[in-house]
Amino acid sequence: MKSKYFNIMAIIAVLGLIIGCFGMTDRLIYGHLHTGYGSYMPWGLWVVFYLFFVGLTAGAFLITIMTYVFGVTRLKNVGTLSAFTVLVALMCELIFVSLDLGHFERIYRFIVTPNFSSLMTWFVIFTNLMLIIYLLECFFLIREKLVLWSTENRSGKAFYQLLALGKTEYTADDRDSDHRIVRLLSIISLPAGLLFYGTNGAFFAILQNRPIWNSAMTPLLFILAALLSGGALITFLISVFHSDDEIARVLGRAVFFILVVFLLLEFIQFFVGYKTGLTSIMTSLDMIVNGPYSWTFWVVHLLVGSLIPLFLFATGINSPKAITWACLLIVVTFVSVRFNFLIPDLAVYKLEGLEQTFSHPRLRTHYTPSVNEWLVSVWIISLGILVFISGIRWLPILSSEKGGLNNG
Amino acid sequence: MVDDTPGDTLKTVCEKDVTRREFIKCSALLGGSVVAASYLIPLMDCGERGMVFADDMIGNAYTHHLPENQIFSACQQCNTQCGIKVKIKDGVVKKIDGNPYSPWCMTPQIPYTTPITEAATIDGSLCPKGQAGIQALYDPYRLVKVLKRAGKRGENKWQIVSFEQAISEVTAGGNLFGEGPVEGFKDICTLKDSGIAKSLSDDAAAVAAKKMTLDEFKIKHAVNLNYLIDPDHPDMGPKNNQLCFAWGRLKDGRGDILKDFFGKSLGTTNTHGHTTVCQGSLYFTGKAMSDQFIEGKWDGGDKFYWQGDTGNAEFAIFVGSNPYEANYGPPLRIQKITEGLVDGRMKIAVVDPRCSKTASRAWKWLPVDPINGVTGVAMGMIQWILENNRFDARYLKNANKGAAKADGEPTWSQAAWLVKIGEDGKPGKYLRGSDIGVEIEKRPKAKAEDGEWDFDAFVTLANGQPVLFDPNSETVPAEGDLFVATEINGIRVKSVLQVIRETANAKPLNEWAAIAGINPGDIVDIAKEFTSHGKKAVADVHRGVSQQTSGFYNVLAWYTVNALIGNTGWQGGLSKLTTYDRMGSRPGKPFDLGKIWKKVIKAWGISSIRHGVAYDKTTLFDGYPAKRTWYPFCSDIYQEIIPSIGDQYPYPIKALFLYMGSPVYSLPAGHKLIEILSDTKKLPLFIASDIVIGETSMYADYIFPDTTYLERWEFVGSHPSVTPKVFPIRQPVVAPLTETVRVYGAEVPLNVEAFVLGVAEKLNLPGFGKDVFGPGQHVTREEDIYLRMVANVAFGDKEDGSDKVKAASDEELQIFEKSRKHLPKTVYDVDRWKKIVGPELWPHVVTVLVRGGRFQGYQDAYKNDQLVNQYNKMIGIYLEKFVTYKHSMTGKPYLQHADYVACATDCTGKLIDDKSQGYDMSLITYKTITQTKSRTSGDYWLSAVYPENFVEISSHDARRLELHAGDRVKVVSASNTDGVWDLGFGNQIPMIGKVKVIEGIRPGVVAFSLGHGHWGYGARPVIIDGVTIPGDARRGAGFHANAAMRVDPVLKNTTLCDTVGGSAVFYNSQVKLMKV
Amino acid sequence: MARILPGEDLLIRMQRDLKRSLAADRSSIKWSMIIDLAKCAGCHACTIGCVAENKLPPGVVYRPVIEEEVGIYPNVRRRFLPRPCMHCQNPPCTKVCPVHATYQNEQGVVVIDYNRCIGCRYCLVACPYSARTSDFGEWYTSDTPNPEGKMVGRAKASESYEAIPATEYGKQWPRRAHDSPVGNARKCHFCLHRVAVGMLPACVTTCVGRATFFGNRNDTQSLISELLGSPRIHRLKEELGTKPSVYYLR
Ligand SMILES: Nc1nc2c(c(=O)[nH]1)N[C@H]1C(S)=C(S)[C@@H](COP(=O)(O)OP(=O)(O)OC[C@H]3O[C@@H](n4cnc5c(=O)[nH]c(N)nc54)[C@H](O)[C@@H]3O)O[C@H]1N2
Ligand SMILES: Nc1nc2c(c(=O)[nH]1)N[C@H]1C(S)=C(S)[C@@H](COP(=O)(O)OP(=O)(O)OC[C@H]3O[C@@H](n4cnc5c(=O)[nH]c(N)nc54)[C@H](O)[C@@H]3O)O[C@H]1N2
Ligand code: SF4
Ligand code: SF4
Ligand code: SF4
Ligand code: SF4
Ligand code: SF4
Ligand SMILES: [Mo]
Repeated sequence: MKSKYFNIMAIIAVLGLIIGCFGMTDRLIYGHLHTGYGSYMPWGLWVVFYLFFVGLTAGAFLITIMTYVFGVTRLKNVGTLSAFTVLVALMCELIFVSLDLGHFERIYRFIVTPNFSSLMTWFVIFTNLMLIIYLLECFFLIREKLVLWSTENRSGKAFYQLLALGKTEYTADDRDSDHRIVRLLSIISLPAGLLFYGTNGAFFAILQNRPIWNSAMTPLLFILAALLSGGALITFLISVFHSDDEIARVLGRAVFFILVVFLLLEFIQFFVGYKTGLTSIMTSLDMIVNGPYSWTFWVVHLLVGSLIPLFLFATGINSPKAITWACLLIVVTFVSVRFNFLIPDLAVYKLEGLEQTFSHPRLRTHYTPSVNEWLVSVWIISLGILVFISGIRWLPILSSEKGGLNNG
Repeated sequence: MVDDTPGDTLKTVCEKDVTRREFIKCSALLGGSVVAASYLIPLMDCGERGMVFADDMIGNAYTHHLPENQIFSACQQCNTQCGIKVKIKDGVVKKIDGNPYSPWCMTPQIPYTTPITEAATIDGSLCPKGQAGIQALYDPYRLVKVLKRAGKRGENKWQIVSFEQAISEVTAGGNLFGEGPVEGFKDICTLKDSGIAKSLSDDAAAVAAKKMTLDEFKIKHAVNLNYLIDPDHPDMGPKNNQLCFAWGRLKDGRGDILKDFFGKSLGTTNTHGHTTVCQGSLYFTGKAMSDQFIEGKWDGGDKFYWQGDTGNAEFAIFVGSNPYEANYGPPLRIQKITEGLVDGRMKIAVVDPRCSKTASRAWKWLPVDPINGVTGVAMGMIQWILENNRFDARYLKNANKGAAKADGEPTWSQAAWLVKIGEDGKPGKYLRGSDIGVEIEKRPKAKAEDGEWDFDAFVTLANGQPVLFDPNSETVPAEGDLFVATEINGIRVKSVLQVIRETANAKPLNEWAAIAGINPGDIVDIAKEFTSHGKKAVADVHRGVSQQTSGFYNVLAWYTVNALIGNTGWQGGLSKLTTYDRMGSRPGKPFDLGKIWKKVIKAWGISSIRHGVAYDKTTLFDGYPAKRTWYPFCSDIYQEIIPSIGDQYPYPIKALFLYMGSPVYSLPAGHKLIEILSDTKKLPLFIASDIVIGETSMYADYIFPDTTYLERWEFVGSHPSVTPKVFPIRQPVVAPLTETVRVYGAEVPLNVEAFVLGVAEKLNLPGFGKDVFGPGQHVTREEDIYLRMVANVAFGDKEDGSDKVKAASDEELQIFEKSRKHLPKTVYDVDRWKKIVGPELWPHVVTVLVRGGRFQGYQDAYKNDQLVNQYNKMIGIYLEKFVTYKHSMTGKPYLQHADYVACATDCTGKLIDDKSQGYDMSLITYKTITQTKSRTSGDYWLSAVYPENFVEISSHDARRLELHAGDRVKVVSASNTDGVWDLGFGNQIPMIGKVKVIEGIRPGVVAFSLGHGHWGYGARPVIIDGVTIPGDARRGAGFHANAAMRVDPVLKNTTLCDTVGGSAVFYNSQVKLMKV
Repeated sequence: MARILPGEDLLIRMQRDLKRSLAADRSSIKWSMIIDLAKCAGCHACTIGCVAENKLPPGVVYRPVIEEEVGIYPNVRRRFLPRPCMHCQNPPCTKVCPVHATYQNEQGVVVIDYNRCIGCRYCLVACPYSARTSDFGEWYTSDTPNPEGKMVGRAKASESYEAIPATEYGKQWPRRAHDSPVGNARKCHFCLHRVAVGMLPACVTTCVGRATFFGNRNDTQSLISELLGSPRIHRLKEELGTKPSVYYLR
């Protein structure tokens, strides 16, 4: 990464961290006092971002699928970048989720009294599984370079020695076994990822009181959404950092295809939803297309996040630039997809008139994220960016061995 | 790093090239493991359960059920005054529940003999306001020290002054505010000699009665004329009358102290309550109807009213009465109705322009027109009942006590009495024996030394023959024909019922229905139902009936409806309240509290609100109309107190002491009072007793903080629908939050009693101080009076003491002390208390105190289908006395029976027609269950349920006016065309509220609920000692539209008023809604 | 005909029922509630009674009463629906709790162990009746002034009715910045702390309409099981299969 870009990004991220600090401090001192969600709208922006980051991890997953299922071997080049992206995204996701908890200090409860009938338990298990898989994958992908760098005379040598776990020599056998491990991990990551994204969907789908979520389509939609946003992200990153037009083109096509499928599915969801004639479903859908935040659906998601990328793909499917832009737009606007997934269904009254019976801002189904929620989000995202660019800069992410597909 | 061992299968899979098929296999496998896991889940779950499920999760931190953590008292979040059980921990009120001994909180309540240990675990019910009382006690805006104004009146700038300073200033007067001299109590209350007072008073009466000339009077009393307000009008009384004591909510005990202090110690006749803002005409119709024939005169009527025996009625019509949301009151009455409805015992109908919560459970809701609707229905019912012979003829025929007794009827009426018909065909006075040549009989007075009185018999017609009778004779029963219109000895006569029938027949039923704005069929239906349950049917009326310009006659009409079935005193019919005697004047009682006042002067003179006297019988008579209305038949005319001060009629007032009232906020057209209260010329000294800086007390010169209902004493009395005989007690529950002050050398909490004692000490007033009850028996603290009253109640009402409550057991005595150990010596000291009542009575007093009062058993309140504590006198449906009085504004005699009197009128009886001026909506108001007038505005729990009130209109009007839910509209009327409250100092509050569109309201009517839109009471900032104390927006939420209520066009500074029953008028104003 | 006066208040009968169940085999207890909608007066006493009993902070409410107007003028009535936790026999809320902080106890009461709850609010999302609210640590008095010595002030007020520990589950829960129940899901618990000492839940005793009944549905002598035989009985959202232990009489 060019240090000019690095510096700009770093400055932005550090600024973000500083501004976000106010939110973080407030969150740590006052807990949830200055948040905009409440009891009838129990989750808000932080959960939206958690969903967003969950999706972003799926880039690596897409690459694995492309490589193993579709046999696109070229993608092995980007294995490290995607694995590292997953790590950073998971980190952000975990911070978001933790801060959303009322009693963060009690997460040990997941180990002491786990409830295996709760999908949240499974979510935690799979998240940790993903974390472990990709941490290991990352490690084995960059181990060779780490060992190398730790023996070279470069700044931060001690750091690399630490990361290399003191290993000073890297043999062909090592390479071989690392490749095997990486391959194994990649393969495990396929079902694990499927379960991970599926669980996330199921997390919502099992709630029979929630009109839109409570549908067999939800897990599927989740997987697709993940592939779309994660795929777009990784495509974007690859074209920016690897400048590998070929890969970008391959991935671009995939993202284009997923986008189309996703929109189709979304259409079906609306179509079927309105056809059911069930008030609860229709009110929920109405919220999306006609509610106070419908602009996020029409403008952000459909126009900026779908139509323009579709157009870019359609007209410039071979132009790396078009693909990069299309993917960037998809990624950035995907927050609105997550928002429109989460909020409208929460906002539908489960008992008519309940909102009017006991008055408090927390007992309303209208939700506006508070400044604090934004500040905290800025902090976490800035942290993510900082970690990401630092990794790219100081870890052998881009220059590492191409992954375990040499003989594939 | 990867351990190969666990994943043999995996490894084999991975060793090979992964094909697509294998990939699918692989994921299927993992998927399968999830499925498998899901089978395991229930198993794991069970494990969990075993671990956590026993009820050992329940700890033992809950201690509210222990009697030593409880004190029983009485709520005052509204005037229902339910019994409460206050749960205390560490000296703090933790929870308030219903007192299970109290008939307010349970039906039936638990037996009085239940040990307190058992009662401790039984909670009775309370309404939401009662539950939230903790927040009235611990209100951040409550005052703790005396405030004196530091700016202009109403500017809300204050300084804290010491109690001693405040007492010295109000008693001594002086240049208190740097605005010139102000007279203190000592300058105003100069007449102190009871001898002088008596002779002045007697002769002033003689002057008024034209038995003595003014000159004679002036000569005779030359040296004492300086005691009088105006020697040219001696009947105005002494200067002492220029001190006025006005109160809002005042109950017995405290009421006794305060009224006696002002009336007897300070000698002013101007002690006026708030009755007419509340349901005045209901009380004063009751008073007129309960007048008895006593020694030749109509007299002795009680200021009271009847309500339905809710728990036993089979049919009840609630007319302008709302037991589900207000009334007296939710815990007391709702249970009886809901159980009645569900058990099939009861059916209810509701006459109300608004579909109240009560109406929501009614068999029939009659959405009457607010203007004239209630009388329309009553007259229609009377007509139908009489024309269809559905009345209780056997009851109505009874002309006197003897006849009633013979029939086992507790009451009788004048239905069969004959009245003389005048030249004009109008009924006048009763036909008397002397009219038909029967001699007048001389009878000795009750007190023989008072001489004799003339008995001139009344007449009824039985089988065409006149029968002469004595209404009170128990031995000579008299019955008569009900419908008589004939001539006797050339005198045209009619029976009372005939008069009423003709009145009711003045219009056909469909016209009555049209006036009411409902279907004639509905009137027939409810009349039919009403007359289908014997005595167990009742029409229960309240403010919707009384607070109209025709309030008195509305109430009279509805009580006449009740009289047609003679339900008074019967189970399921009309009942009245009964309490144990606290004053102790009866023989055998332990403490005669009247004794204190034997030596003092009796206040005398025309009252500042001109009540209880006939205008034309005073020296102020100056033709018709009078400058302001006179009220011969009522008292406590709240809306006249301050406007009369404004007009200085009949005389100027120099000092006003306002206790626990907020006329500016609570009265219709209360905004008109602000100008007067702000004027230091018209009202030189204004002192308020309040718990916060309220909408009215903000205009005071001094505010004396008071203790709230949870920190003090009061004996709250009862309500007509409570059938058992009772005596609920309010007593200190926690340490007062106000500062401690010193009076008569003792430390007491700062409250209104401290004010009284402080002034009494300073001015050395009679009735207070050392040795008042005898050597060593002082009145230097509040409980010196209160505990003696409790002792009287504990003793009971039988001379021989057989009615005494059981003495408290040792355990109860211990609990009594334990539960009060957190109380400071300023309010409680067991030895001091014991000494006041004496060791013998003490355990009995404790029995009463630990139970929060004395309550007769529910079962004991009924006998043979009748009420035990019944009204068992004559019921006046024809008020002869009225024709002998002339209305001060018209010079005409008063109407004496139920009739339709059109609304809305000004004080001269002229109809007001604002409708034609475009004021197209009738404004009404009601109470919502969560709010009282002022005191609930700091109860944040309640504001969560109902944060703001609304401009409630029907969907019909919404369409017509193109208004939508949530629109903001201003309420304007002909007398407040700007639709604002003008607070002075440039502060204006527009009456703007949010529209709520509902179906449950009569089109053309706009309703708002009471209790919102405050600007005092912590809603806006105030400055104390230079520090600005910010307001809390929650307290000011919503709007208050009393200022849109019609100002009387003749008097110009007060609301429309029922000139007969005194009621302030809340439901006869026309308004316009202006979208903003 | 003379009316036979009621011999005792229904509350007394129910309390006797309750004590009988407590004295017998406790494992056979299934606490249940019945709310008679024909008797409910829409007074909100139960709402506030519960708030006061459990010292609930702003935004936390266990038993709101929903008001509704039905019909068209002049054929209009108002309806009221009190909504405590349904104590579902098949509760969706406990299933989603990742840490078993909320569960159904032996007596069928769905409880929350505040000390376990991580505050994820998944249960809030899962409850079909919105019966759970989260404690975000707010104070009713937070916006009030504290002019020391001049008025009672915020400090006194908040310490007297907000900081004061509630006794839910028979334990002390002083309200401090971060400690439970701040940060937790909260809901109706059938006033187990009162039941434990032989008292009826607060919303039952304060119910001015005598519309709320409580007892052990397995005790055939109890008032509550008598009422369960009424043809007016129904449950909310029966179609979801949650099997509430709170029943309504139409
Ligand atoms: N729009 C509308 N207006 C109405 C009504 C309505 O239905 N609608 N109802 C009317 C009725 S029925 C009535 S009775 C009147 C009542 O009218 P008021 O008798 O004037 O009574 P409140 O308005 O309750 O005023 C009570 C005052 O006493 C203070 N206070 C409270 N507790 C204490 C205490 O313990 N000691 C002392 N010293 N002061 C205390 C309060 O702060 C407040 O300032 O309002 C009437 N006004
Ligand atoms: N919640 C609450 N309860 C209270 C009080 C309180 O402040 N708040 N105050 C207590 C006091 S002091 C009193 S006096 C009682 C009063 O008790 P109520 O008189 O029973 O109650 P209100 O709500 O004042 O008025 C009764 C009904 O009259 C209706 N009404 C209005 N205009 C008209 C009309 O023109 N015609 C007819 N027929 N009806 C009309 C209203 O819609 C309302 O339903 O309540 C007591 N209980
Ligand atoms: S009705 Fe409510 S506010 Fe009024 S006294 Fe009873 S409990 Fe208190
Ligand atoms: S009502 Fe909601 S919170 Fe209560 S048990 Fe059922 S699902 Fe759980
Ligand atoms: S908020 Fe608490 S009780 Fe609810 S699901 Fe999460 S941990 Fe369980
Ligand atoms: S049972 Fe207790 S916790 Fe539940 S709603 Fe009633 S009062 Fe509240
Ligand atoms: S306390 Fe009873 S009557 Fe009042 S709202 Fe609650 S359930 Fe209904
Ligand atoms: Mo009143």
